[in-house]
Amino acid sequence: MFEWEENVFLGIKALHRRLFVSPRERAASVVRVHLAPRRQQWFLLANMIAEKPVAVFETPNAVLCDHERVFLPPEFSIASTPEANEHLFQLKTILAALAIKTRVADPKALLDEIPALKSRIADLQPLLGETDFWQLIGRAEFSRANEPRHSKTLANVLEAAQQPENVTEIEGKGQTNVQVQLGDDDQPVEAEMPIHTFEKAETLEEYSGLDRKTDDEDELEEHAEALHKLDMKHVVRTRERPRSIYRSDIVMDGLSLDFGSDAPAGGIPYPEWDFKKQQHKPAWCHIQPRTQIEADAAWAQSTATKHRAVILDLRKKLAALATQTQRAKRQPHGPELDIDAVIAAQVAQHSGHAPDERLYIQRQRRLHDVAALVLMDQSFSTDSWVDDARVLDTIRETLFCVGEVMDEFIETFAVAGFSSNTRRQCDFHLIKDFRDPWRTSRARLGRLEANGYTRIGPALRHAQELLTRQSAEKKVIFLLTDGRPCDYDRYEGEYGIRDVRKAIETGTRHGIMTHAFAIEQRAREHFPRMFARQHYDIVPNPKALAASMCGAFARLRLAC
Amino acid sequence: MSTPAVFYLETGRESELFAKAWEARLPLMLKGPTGCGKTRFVEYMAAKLGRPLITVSCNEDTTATDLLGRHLLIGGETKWTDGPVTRAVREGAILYLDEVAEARADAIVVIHSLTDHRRELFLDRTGETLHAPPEFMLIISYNPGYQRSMRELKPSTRQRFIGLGFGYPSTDIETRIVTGETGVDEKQARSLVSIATKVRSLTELSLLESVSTRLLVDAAKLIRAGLPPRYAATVAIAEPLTDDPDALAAIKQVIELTL
Ligand SMILES: Nc1ncnc2c1ncn2[C@@H]1O[C@H](COP(=O)(O)OP(=O)(O)OP(=O)(O)O)[C@@H](O)[C@H]1O
Ligand SMILES: [Mg+2]
Repeated sequence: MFEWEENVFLGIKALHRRLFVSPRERAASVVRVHLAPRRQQWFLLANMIAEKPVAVFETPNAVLCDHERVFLPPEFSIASTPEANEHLFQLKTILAALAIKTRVADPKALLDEIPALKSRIADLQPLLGETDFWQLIGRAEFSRANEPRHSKTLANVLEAAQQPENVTEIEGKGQTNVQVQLGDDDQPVEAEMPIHTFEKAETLEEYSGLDRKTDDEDELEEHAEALHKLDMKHVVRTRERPRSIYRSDIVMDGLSLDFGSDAPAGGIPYPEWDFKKQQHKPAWCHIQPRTQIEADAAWAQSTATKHRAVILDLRKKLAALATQTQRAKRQPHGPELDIDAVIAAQVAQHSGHAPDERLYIQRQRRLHDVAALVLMDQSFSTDSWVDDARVLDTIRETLFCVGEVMDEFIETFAVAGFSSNTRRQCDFHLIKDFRDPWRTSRARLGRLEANGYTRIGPALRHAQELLTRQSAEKKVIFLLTDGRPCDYDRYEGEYGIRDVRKAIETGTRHGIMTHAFAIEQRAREHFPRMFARQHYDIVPNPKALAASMCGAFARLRLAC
Repeated sequence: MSTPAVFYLETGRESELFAKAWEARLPLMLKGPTGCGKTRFVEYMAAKLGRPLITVSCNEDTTATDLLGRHLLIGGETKWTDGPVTRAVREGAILYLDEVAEARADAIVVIHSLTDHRRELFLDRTGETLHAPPEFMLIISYNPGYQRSMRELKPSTRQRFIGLGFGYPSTDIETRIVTGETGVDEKQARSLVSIATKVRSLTELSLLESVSTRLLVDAAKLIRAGLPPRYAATVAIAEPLTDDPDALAAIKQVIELTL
């Protein structure tokens, strides 16, 4: 329920904005260049110039970079031409990458690294008017002691009494140097791990000057503008379920989250790869295997109806694939003669040798003798929205469709979800075990909830373990996730990526292939470092996921 | 030893190792990415040791028969023809099996007996057992690229060889390779190598294959032939590596910054 005054206020403000665009704003809109469409390009450029892995972090702050990230603003419109604003992005990227490479904080000292830079900057400065180029791009800040973390910030502005039905999400600007405090509801007790550790921004009301009471409508959209102005220097950690989500990458200061390791952990131990030491930490993570039995039959029914067309289409595609055969030469039986083998046998006979009697060509079904395990990311981040759909819903509905069809063509498959809260609690929810019938398991998907974090490594290792007990000739894991590996106790960035990669390599060596699907464009920046080429798909939107899963079957050389 | 006509620039102590392995009759495995000089090195060493070189490029259709030889039917008569491996053993040549991991398992197994103390080859079709003369040497190459192939050599095969890892040469040496191969001036060669170093740091992102020394040599040849350097680098380095528009744009920017 809106206060009508506020409604009017916001309406007038919007109208005012539309009618009375300041000349300055009008000029800016013509020359403005956004980060988003070029982000991948700057990311690649930065990696090349730095000559080591670096990331791009979006933030409006005038800071050049930290020790492994180039900081770029969402847009530049300060220069008088679009080309010049594009050059600004380029030059900031290059200088930041050089700063990371050389560990020199002052970009002015880096000009000699690449001779062409000096003249480019000199050409650009006149187009910036009053603004000084160096001020604009800022200096590097290497001082941060803590490893950077990706995290999420929840703007729990409304503090609703009851659980909300819908959650709105807004992608926010990135923030650096954020201080995290523990909220009142969060006991920093080791025995009891927090369930969600998403940060909550304080003092949101301050922005509007309206000083109004909150109510239980979801007003995030209206507040988006204000939120974007929010300088999120302090956030609070809380366990409350959010009402509205304001998603933003932050870099935290001064908070170490390495929880004590003495407390005994139950479950099945798995090693974790420490790329810095180049060795496995033995029994580091603990998988808690759980079997899901609660089911939602109504959900299954309605999903089947809702996606009838998708299922039909998938069935057609997979059927085509399944009837596709591969020719295996020199077989003892088969519908066709192998002419090469016949000649060789003739020759052998003539020269007085025992001829090989395997003279036939056999056709083998492509999807023959496959065991697959579908592993889905159930972490809290799947609770967010892409293209008007909650990622978790997309994932489970897709899984439902794929399962419906897989059941007809693949002898053995299992479905499991995973999430984690520190290395000692890596949950592995078995939704359908290999021998469970699909018909009874499928409704369980309807009861899945988002939970915790994304520690991919242990989940993969456990899935591999389950697969090795299967007798099928070809074994494959399909991993569905929305993004990057992370956990409460340091599983971010390079560390997590290398661990995932190690787990996959180990699997490959044991004949278990892994194919990953991401439903987030940004995955382009870290997926390739975890998965071998052709062994991952980045799916532009949720609807494409089902089709690309089908494509993966075809490509996985399942018949070799 | 003769002075070979093949141009090869030593990047470490590899020729010494090769010569010692040859004397000790040990088979050798060369590991390394494409275009980093493995073939050139073997050619050079064969010339240096004054031995004939027999090279076989293996692929997934390479069978034991292809390597050992087969009976051919000629006018009702059968005639045995040696395959390259058999020929190399008879001649005491240096045998180079390129990309051996790609070959079929049965093909890889036939060379096992050549790699241990027996150094012999059994031809089941003719019933012959050949003993390799002391000059014979077996070299295999393989590209252990994490991204490349699902195929890996079995430990039982790998452990029959001593291993020599090839990486990209150091900046200075690679610069000298480029000038030595093509005659471009040193400054230009150095710029090309610096582009390569930068692009190679993207390899881990697996958006592209890495830039090989071969591509740098190609770019330098085009520059020598009179093409503008930026253009030469674009067609010889950027375009062969990737079709991804963002990656192409980013690499072109690096080229423009450097050349
Ligand atoms: N050390 C070197 N000395 C001289 N030339 C070299 C050297 N390293 C590389 N090259 C150049 O690189 C080119 C490619 O090398 P080569 O063909 O030997 O690669 P390779 O490792 O065998 O590659 P592939 O795995 O693709 O067969 C050579 O033709 C040569 O021009
Ligand atoms: Mg070669």
